[in-house]
Formats: sequence, structure tokens, C-alpha cells
Amino acid sequence: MSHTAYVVFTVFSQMAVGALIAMVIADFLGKDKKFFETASWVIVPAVIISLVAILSHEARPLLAMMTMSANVGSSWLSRESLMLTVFAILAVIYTCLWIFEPEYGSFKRICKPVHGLIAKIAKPFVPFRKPLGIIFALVGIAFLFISARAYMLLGLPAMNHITTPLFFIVTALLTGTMLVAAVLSIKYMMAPKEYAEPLGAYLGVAWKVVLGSVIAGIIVLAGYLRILKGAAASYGAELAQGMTLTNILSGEMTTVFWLYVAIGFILTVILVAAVAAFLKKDVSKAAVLSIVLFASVLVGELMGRLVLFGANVPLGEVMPYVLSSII
Amino acid sequence: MVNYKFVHDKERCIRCGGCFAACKQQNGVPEDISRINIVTIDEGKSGERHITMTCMHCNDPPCVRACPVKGISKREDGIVINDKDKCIGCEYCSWACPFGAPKYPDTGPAELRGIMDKCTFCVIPYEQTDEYGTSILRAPNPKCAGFCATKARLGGDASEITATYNERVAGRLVERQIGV
Repeated sequence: MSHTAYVVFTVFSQMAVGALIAMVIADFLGKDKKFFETASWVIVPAVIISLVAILSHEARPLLAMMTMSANVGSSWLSRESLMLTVFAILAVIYTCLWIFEPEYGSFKRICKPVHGLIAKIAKPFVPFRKPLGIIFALVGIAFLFISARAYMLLGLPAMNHITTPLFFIVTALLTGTMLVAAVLSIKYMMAPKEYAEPLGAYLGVAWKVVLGSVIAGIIVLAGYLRILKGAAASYGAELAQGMTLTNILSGEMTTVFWLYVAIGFILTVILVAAVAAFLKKDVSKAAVLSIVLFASVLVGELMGRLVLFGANVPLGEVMPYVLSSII
Repeated sequence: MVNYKFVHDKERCIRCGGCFAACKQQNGVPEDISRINIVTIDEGKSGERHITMTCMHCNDPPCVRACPVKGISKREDGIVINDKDKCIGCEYCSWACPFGAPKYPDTGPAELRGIMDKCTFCVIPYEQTDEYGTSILRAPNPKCAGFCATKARLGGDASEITATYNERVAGRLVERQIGV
């Protein structure tokens, strides 16, 4: 089974949700909206990458696009794909409310006539961007839970735990917040004097979110390893969990796992340095560290997800041992 | 009402591979996959035993609930089948199945690569016609069970095969107790 598609799909879809949440936060900061508007461009590409990744995994991608939501009544995968479609549409609408804003919407630099036309349609909705953003973010969070539930199957004992949605939420907050921070930092570097204040305001909130997410991530990871070591609902599940833990700590995924831990450590060091720079009001250094932090967060999350999917032992693999002991 | 099932008698299986070969030949299973996996436990040690892993045609199949395109269904006679025309090859059923029964071939006809393949109890899973347009039907008569040299693999109505299996188990218990 190819894990790459699942890794890219889950990380990028969660990054898109996190980026939308970060943009809603930025909208509430009440500073330079023109500055924050640039970061709104990143939500839709992240959703598109996740969609392409998941469709590339299917044997019949075109048929999958048409029929994947056919069984929402009982299939969590159907529900996940339906929620992803809904979130993708909402992400496009939310982005339009930023980039087609009549005053500072940057689409007018790309195509003025089109901007003028869509800006007229978007204008009555722009004042409602904040409440709509909150609603869309809640839909995004609902998508995270449904997406996690799709992997919480009896056939995948190692993922059938509360840690799966917690991992997904941590990924969304870490990658999304840092993606927006990285884009804003690049924009800041183009005109440091002009954008120092709004970037500072955003980073002030972003560091708190990232710090909280890192701490939560460490707790969830420790909890996950503890759960894998512990008792399970059935003998088969216990065997599968034990083999998953072996794959992580002394098996095929060990190198990736320790690289993931090392990146997590480096990330924490960079984060501390970035917070220190920020506290010293050195926004330019904080901006550079934001970009480095985003890169390490992205690589770390991709590796972590690779471990989560790659080390996972499905129940089908251990069932012969279970059957041999009971029949 | 008839309810088709398989029972595997691990005491009798000698891993001859007859079930595996008969299944492949009967159903035209692609080269790189098999609908029956024979797993040996404690190989080379005392108590070595062989377990055949295949679709168990569950009473409440998790694959049916998991399939996002409603491609898998359970017939009235208990046989779980997959409609290959509907299947998108998402492999989600392989996660849901506790027996690892769904398989995804990389060889064979291009239109069936990556499309889920599993035991159909040797029935033709969906309506097919021959070159004269006549509908081809096949009775549930699993070749794996028919070809099993030691009759370790039992396939048929649950009540019948369970009775046969219970008789064997009871017989073995008696043999062990009286030391025959």
C-alpha cells in the first residue's frame, strides 16, 4: 500500500484548515488588512495538493471524484471526502472574500476587469468575512474529526484511538499557523518598515499557538506510544498494536521516527530562538526564523505522518496468529 | 435460510497449495495476488500449523459499511461480492477487513489493475454473458474446498459445515482422551 498519498493528503488538508483558522485570527487582529490579505492565497493551493494526492492514490481517479461520496450513510471515507469537498468550496469562498476585496484585494493586480466584476459580487459579503470565517473554520475542524474518524477502524487497532484526531488537530494548528507566518514574513522582508507592526501582531499570537501545539504534540506522541504498549480491546488488537510499536522503535520506521523526534527537538530550539528574537522586538530575525520554522514543521509533520501510516499493522496481518490460537 | 461460510480445520491442513491453485485457475485471479493466503505459524517447530486467510463472508461485513461507492454487497445467501465496475481502488476495504481479504492486482487487464479482488465463493459476482449473449451463472461451489486433499477447508452452508467440523473436533477430543 502506498503511504505517500495518505501522508500528503492528510498533512496538506490539515494545513489548509490550520491556515484558514490562522487567517480568521489575522482578520481579528484589526491591523493592516492589506498585509494579511497575501497569506489568504495559500489556503486553496493546500486543499488542491491534498485533493490531487488522494485522487492519485485511487485506481480510477475520475470515477472516484464522481462517486466517492455515495455511501455517506455508513462509510467514514465517503463522509471524509464529502466534508473535504465542502471545506474546499468554503475555502475558495473565504479566499475570494480576501482577494476580491474592493479596496485591497490583490487579484486586481493580476486581472483588473475580472477583479472588478467579482469584487461587485463579493462586496456585500465582505463585511461578514469575520463571522463567515468562524463558521468555515468550524467546518474545517469538523472535517479534521471526520477525517480522523475515517482512520479509526477496528481493522487498524493502532489508529483506533483518540490520539488520531489529536494528532490531526496539532498538525493543522502547527502547519497552518506557520504557513501563514512564513508567507507574511516573506512579504515583510519586501517592505520591513511598512509591515513590522502587523507582522509583530500576528507573530505574537502565532508563537502562542505554535508553542501550545508543540507541547500538545509531545503529550499526544507520548500518549500514543503508551497506548500502543498497553492492553487493547482484543488479543488481535493487542498483537497489532505491539507490532506497530516494534515497527516504530526497532523496525522499518525507526530511522524516520528518530529523525522526526530530532526535527521536533530542532523545531523547539528554533521556536525558542524566534520567541526570544520577538521579545527583543527584533522582527526581522523573527521573520527569518518563521520561515525556517515552517520548513522544519512541514518536514517534521510529513515524517511523523509517514511513521503513523507506515508503521501501522492492520488486523489482517495478525489474524492468522489469532485464528491459530482459537480454532 | 442458506448462509454460505468457510471453516478451516488447522489440524488437517498440510499446506499443499491445492486450494490456492484451484482458486486461481477457476477465477482467473491475476498473477501477483491470491484470494487465499496460507500462513504458516511456528514453522519448523513442534505445533507447526497452517492457516488459510481468505474472505470469511462475515455476517455483518465491515467492508460493506466502509466501501465509499457501495461497490461491495452481501447477497441473500450470505456471499459478499464486489462490483468491479463500481470499485475505485481506494483500498479502504482492506483497512476495514480484519482478515486482510481484499487484494489489489498490479498485473492483468489494465482496466482491472488496482481494482479490489476477493473471494466470491466461486459464483460470478455480477451478471456476465457469454459470446452468444446467454447469461452465465455459477452455483456457490467453492473450488478451494472441493480440491482440498485433506478436507481441511470446508465451504458451504454454515449449519452443515459447522456440524461436520464439530464432529471432527469431538472425535479428536475422544481420541486424545482415550489415547488412540
